[in-house]
Amino acid sequence: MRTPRLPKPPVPLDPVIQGLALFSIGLGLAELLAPRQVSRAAGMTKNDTLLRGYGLREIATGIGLLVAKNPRPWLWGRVAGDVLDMATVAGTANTKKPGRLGGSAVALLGVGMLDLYTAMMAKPKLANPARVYRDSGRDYSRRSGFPKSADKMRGAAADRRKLMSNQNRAVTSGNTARQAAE
Amino acid sequence: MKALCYHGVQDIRCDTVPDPEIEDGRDAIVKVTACAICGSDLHLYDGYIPTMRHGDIMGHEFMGEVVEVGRDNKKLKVGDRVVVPFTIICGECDQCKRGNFSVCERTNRNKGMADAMFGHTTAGLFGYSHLTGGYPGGQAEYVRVPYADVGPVKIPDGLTDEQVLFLGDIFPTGWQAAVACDIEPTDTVAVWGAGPVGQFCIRSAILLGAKQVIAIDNVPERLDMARAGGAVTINFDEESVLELLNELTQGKGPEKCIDAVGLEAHGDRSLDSMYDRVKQALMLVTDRAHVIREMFYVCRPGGTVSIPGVYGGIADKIPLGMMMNKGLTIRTGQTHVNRWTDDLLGMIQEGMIDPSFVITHTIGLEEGPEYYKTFRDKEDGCIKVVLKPELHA
Repeated sequence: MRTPRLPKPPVPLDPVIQGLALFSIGLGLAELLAPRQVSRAAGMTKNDTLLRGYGLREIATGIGLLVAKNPRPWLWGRVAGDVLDMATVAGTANTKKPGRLGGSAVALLGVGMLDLYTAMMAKPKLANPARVYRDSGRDYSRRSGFPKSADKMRGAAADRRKLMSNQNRAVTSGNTARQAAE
Repeated sequence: MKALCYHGVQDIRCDTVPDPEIEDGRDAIVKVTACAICGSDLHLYDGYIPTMRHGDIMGHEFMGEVVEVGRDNKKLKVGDRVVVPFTIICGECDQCKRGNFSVCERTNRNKGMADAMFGHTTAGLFGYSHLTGGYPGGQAEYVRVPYADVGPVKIPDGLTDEQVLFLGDIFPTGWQAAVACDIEPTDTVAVWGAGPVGQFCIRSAILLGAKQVIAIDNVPERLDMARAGGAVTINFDEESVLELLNELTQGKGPEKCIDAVGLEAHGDRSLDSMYDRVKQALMLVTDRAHVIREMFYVCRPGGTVSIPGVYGGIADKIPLGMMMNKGLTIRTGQTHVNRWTDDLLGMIQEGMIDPSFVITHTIGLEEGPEYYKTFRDKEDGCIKVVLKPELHA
């Protein structure tokens, strides 16, 4: 069975998915290595342990997106992570920094919309290529390229090369003999 | 004229471009009657080979009829039917005199770039990036062939385009990989990849007398074709490559291993191939080396590893200790096409092999862009696509 066709997205999704994966890994590394700076920039009160946990989640999702044959579960994972991030920002908001809070809300919404759209549009890559390939119905089992069975052709070119090299040697020695006689 | 042009990663278009003209006395203009999409074109298509530019004409496997000849070209005349090797050779430099045609010292127009990248230049190639000279390729209605008094192989009457087209690349590439193995009648030859080059490796190994040839792939049609050519097959999606190779060689491993896969290897379930994909996506390496690692591991000590598969730059975690301690011989390189064409043409004329067995799709130039994807994704049983400019969609 071929995968059912989904509506074609207006832009190729592969680079978008790759971009999201790299973004996820980058953000994850930042959260893991510099949680205080990230929470400050996002307008949150500090919670290093939570941020580091989120960092690990982002990195795992990013790697999953890069290597998985079917990116959809990982994209939906990102969507769920976005919801969690929004809830976390709302719950740990540093109200003394409304500008930063507003900025992170816009960023979260923007990335969240992109994640949601990509998760809805992404096609699974071939989960089991062998099963799909078999659907072609083409039979190449008689395409040997040989005039006889492969067993009968075994060594045919080696014999030919030997023969040609013997012929060349005969011509060379004939020429040498001729030259010597002259 | 019409030509398939590169416009970015996974973006090939059939454009109308100016006809080529004679630029040097040794040139010829060839009207293309047949050309092919090569597996190594897919590395360009997928963006793994640097220095491609918008509008570059693709294709390095082509043949046709000579329609114009430069004034200094005494070898060809208008009307000659020729196959044009993908390596452009001068025939006069030190490397050409040694038969090392793929590293001709004079034909790469961007020698400085190649010197910087590889230490020393390699030959100019048709349609294969500016690193190899930026020569317009053969997926077009007409091609200017530089040094045409040396490279092109004249085709005698009585042979079809389909029988001889692959003399320009994949047949000599498979042949050279097998010859490089110094095959003995007691040898087992394992071939990774049953794509077009892999198919010719298999048949070359059989013709050169290998006791047993084993093909490794995961596409059923390709494995079918490999079995037709005399190979025992391993589907790496369903079976353990290492266990089966050892089992088929009484635990000793194959004496000769051929990598007909190259830089886009994907042994999907292995940890190392996942690691490669992550590093490649992060642009920390250019090449995925899963096949090389597997070959080094399973090859019989004292054996030979032959690598016709194309690699573009840098790979990671190559087990050099394994290679050194097992005393493996490594042989690789772009194909010295003209070193083999006389012999192979002779074998085709004698009926020893008909290379057209590998063609699965024949289309017009206009359909080329669509078939890059079909070939890359191995859809519709696609193994080898031949384009004929005379066919219109």
